[in-house]
Amino acid sequence: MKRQILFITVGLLLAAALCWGSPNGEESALQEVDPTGVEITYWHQFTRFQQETLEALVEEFNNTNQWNIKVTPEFGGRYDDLYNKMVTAIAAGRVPDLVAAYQNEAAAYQASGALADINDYIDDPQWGLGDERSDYFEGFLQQDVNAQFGGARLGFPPNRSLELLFYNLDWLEQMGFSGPPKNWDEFYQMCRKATNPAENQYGYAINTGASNVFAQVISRGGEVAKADGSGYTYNTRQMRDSMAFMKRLYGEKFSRKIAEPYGEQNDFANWKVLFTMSSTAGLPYYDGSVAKGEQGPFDWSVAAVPHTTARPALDIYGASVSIPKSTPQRQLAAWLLVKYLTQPGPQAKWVEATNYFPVRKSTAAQLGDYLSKNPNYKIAYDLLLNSDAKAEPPFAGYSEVRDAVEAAFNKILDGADIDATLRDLDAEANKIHREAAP
Amino acid sequence: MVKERSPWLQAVLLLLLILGAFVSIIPFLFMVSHSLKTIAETITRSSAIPFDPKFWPRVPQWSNYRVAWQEARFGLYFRNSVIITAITVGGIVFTSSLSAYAFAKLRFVGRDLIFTILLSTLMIPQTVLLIPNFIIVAKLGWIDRLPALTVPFLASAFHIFLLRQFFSQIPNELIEVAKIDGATHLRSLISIVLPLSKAPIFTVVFLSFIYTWNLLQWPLVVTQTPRWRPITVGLSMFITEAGPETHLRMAGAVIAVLPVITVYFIAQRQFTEAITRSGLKE
Amino acid sequence: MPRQRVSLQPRRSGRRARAASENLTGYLFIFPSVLLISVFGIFPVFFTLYVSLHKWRIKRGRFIGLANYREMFGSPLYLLLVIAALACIALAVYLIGRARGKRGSLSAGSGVFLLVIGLAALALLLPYLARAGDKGMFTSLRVTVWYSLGTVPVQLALGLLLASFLYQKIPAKQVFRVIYLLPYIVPSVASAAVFERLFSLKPESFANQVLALFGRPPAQWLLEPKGIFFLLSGERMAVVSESVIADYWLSWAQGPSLALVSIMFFNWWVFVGYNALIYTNGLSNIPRQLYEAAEVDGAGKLAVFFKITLPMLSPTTYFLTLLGIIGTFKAFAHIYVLRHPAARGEVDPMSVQIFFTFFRKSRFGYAAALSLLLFAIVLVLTLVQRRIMKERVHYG
Repeated sequence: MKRQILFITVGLLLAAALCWGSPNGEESALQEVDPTGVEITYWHQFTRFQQETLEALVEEFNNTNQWNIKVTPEFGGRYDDLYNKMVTAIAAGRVPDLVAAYQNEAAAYQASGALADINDYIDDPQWGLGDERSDYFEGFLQQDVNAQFGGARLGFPPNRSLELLFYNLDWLEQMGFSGPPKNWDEFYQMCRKATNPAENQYGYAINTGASNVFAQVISRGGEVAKADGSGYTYNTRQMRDSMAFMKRLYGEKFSRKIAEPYGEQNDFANWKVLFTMSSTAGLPYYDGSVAKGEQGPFDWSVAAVPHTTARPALDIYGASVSIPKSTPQRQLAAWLLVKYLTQPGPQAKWVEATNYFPVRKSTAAQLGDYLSKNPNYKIAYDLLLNSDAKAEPPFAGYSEVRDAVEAAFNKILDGADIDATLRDLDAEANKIHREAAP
Repeated sequence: MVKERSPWLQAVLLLLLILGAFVSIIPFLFMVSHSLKTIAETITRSSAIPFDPKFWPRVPQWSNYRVAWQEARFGLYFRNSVIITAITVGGIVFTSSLSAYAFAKLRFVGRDLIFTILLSTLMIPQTVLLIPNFIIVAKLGWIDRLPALTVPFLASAFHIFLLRQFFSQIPNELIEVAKIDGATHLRSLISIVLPLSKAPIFTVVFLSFIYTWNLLQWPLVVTQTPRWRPITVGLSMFITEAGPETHLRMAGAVIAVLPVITVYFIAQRQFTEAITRSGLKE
Repeated sequence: MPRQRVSLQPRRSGRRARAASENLTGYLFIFPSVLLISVFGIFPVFFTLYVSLHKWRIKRGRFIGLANYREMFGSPLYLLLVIAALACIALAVYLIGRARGKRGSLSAGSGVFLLVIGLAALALLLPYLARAGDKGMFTSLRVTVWYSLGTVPVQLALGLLLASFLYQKIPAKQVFRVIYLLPYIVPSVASAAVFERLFSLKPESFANQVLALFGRPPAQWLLEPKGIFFLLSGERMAVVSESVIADYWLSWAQGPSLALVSIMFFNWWVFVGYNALIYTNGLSNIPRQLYEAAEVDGAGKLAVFFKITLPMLSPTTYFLTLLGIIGTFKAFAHIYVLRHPAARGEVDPMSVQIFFTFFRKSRFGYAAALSLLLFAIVLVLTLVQRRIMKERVHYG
């Protein structure tokens, strides 16, 4: 009896404390926070000209923002390296204030409670997006909302890119074709015709990464994971078809594995390979490579990945940026940088330099004649607007699953039985999913 | 080995040795030749045989080195490696000579037991120490700071063992004499033992230098930004980023390798002696 | 022992004071080393145990006891049986060793019997253990064994060969020594970067061009997870089987993957010169009289080599073997650069696999458990080697 009374009293007191302490829904929770003079660090994954452009934009922010916030951008490595660094940073308790992260990486960080919920920022009456919200592509914004963490928004998109087919138009025309393949059969025929062992030429450079696998599965109308977050589905008809197709292409030597990262770019530029599949962010790189090729520049372009679906179904990548938890001031300052970088002006500059896609509709207006002067980018941008863009799973543990997918793909190419391998892959992926669950 | 040998055998041996030496050198030739090619050349124009003109660039692209140097920030990484190695080597010499002297010349309770325990740590594989040391260093707040790269390495059971071997061979009488003259043990160490131990000390310096300079795994894990990144990590990151740009990759490798090779050619004898000495077992 | 000295001081307190001050000095001198080694060398071993008992992903999770170990081995029953089989074999070896010299003793017979039982049990049980446990770990164990077998003996043999060549009357010996030692001196990250290109799967890579000289088609080298024996058999060897036991042993029968073999090439290239140098030193320590005596006795060159040279070199061989095997477990830098995901773990010895479990999958707890297993294996190996050294190594 006495214990029950005690419990109830404590419970009531707690409830009272909660009611009193919680912020009024109408007022800004961030009202008290003052970001003046804050210095923050931003870990990004950009190199070369991407890095230069980003640093220029950040420099502009540093010089023009009204709160005197100073941002130090740091190249943290490519995605894998950056992920590893962030993991050690969380373990060490020394995190940056803004970090580039894929959705599944953000989920992995959040399993340790390391990130702030950006919903608090975009919905804030004082500092939030307000009316500008509708200018953003809602589909992009949705990708960062994570079901595994109760709908928390773990990141914000500064840009996006698509996985597309890159093809050598001159070569296609020489072989008697008029344009890029629309479905996998045409793709097969073109690869076959292009293969010429004497000249070391082949049709397609196989990227065995998980993103590529994803792109193929969705091009056939399939998916790799259940949307409700309950697990992966790697043993589907579409997956089997994708693997069988690639195995055949590889076995008949119309395609080859890529020897070194981005090696296919060089082969493409030197007329060694007809098709590659790559991110649209690679467009400027391909421009550069083709210019330095042995045969000199030629006519090439991008197209939707061959598909059996009605509309093209394309893999949309999004490294977003996440705000690790630190002090309210620093978090707010990081958010303000993010808002700045997604203003149409800076976005336009970013787009022109990197060929990433903007995340706001109004940016297109700022691009002026850039689209007409850059036909490949225009094609890519149109595809973005007119296709079914699908994103890879945002679950914690997906990084590990990606490794398993790549291993399975390689195993199949090397001759393993498709059904058995996919069964094992499906089991392994789901095991990882359970283990990594928050 | 028997002294008499037919000249034919000599010739065959010589031939085999030359062949072997060739195999030893080919990767370096490859490194140099590809560092001077253009990116297109590394794909379309390459050969396995150094005598084939296609092995070598048409026009040496010296600019590759400038690009690699700047992109890979080799200047900064060199500086870091030098600092880290200098501190670590200095620390090892300091702690090891003190300890070796104590184990060899002094008597104190538990001396042999402690020595055995220290020696037994040599059996522990680095991998076992990786995770706990990382957590410890993280808790100490040293991640991405200089102490993480130096402090864990400032003492080494191996070098204590090496020096102790040598110190115990120094006659005790020398030290007794100094003691009568009123010298402390510290003074004995500095003025008597150390000057007699130039060779083993050099071995310690040399071995710990090579070890620290070439360390990759630990710095990879504890550095996050370029601030204190040593050259091994910088090079491995550059290799990944330069990806298909073989010419830049190779230029980077040459830059990393050149200083070591230069020192090696100058001080060959000391190198080989130090290595040999480290192999002696009592 | 200090000699007798004339002393004017009363003996007892003087000696005590000296002893006490010597104690203090001793502790002071060893303090820095002991502190550092304790914190970063000894304490971590216990801390690893602690970590391995938790679910630890970046931050410490909950205490899960032996769950990590259970995941590693899958089945405690099979584990115990395998350990029993190993103990059987150890006992058998001991018995046989003891029986040497005594003819027809009971020990020898029972020793052989136990050995057969133990080996058979192992052959039957290991497959089930491997199936129950963590596939990645058992693969890395296999890779580690192949890696050791493929590098240590070869490096020793080539090193000895080279040392004996250089021991002859050859012009420009020093030049050769310098050249052969060069690969050992340079940072392995840099030379591995070169090897990665030399052994790339492109038809125009160095390794493939060498193959072409022999009329063979290009191989995948560093990307090839298939075993070398399997490839040499023209890919006609069976690789999978319905039977669990056969399936497991077939994975061994395939041999090390071509990717791993490529990495072995790198190892040989690096260490031959080093081993040769150490062996040269060993060779020069062999007293001339032994050879001269053999010559007088009219012994042939081969006999001289096996009866004199090799035994006299046994300390050196022991040292290099120990170093080589430890090196196998420490190997990291070059494997990190040379490995490729397409090789699917067939290039990852235990130490590398543990690293990636820690760094990439951020499974600190599980990685800690794996590293303790590695430690146990290294301990056993070291003890075994000590034993062998006692029996086989001849000094002077």
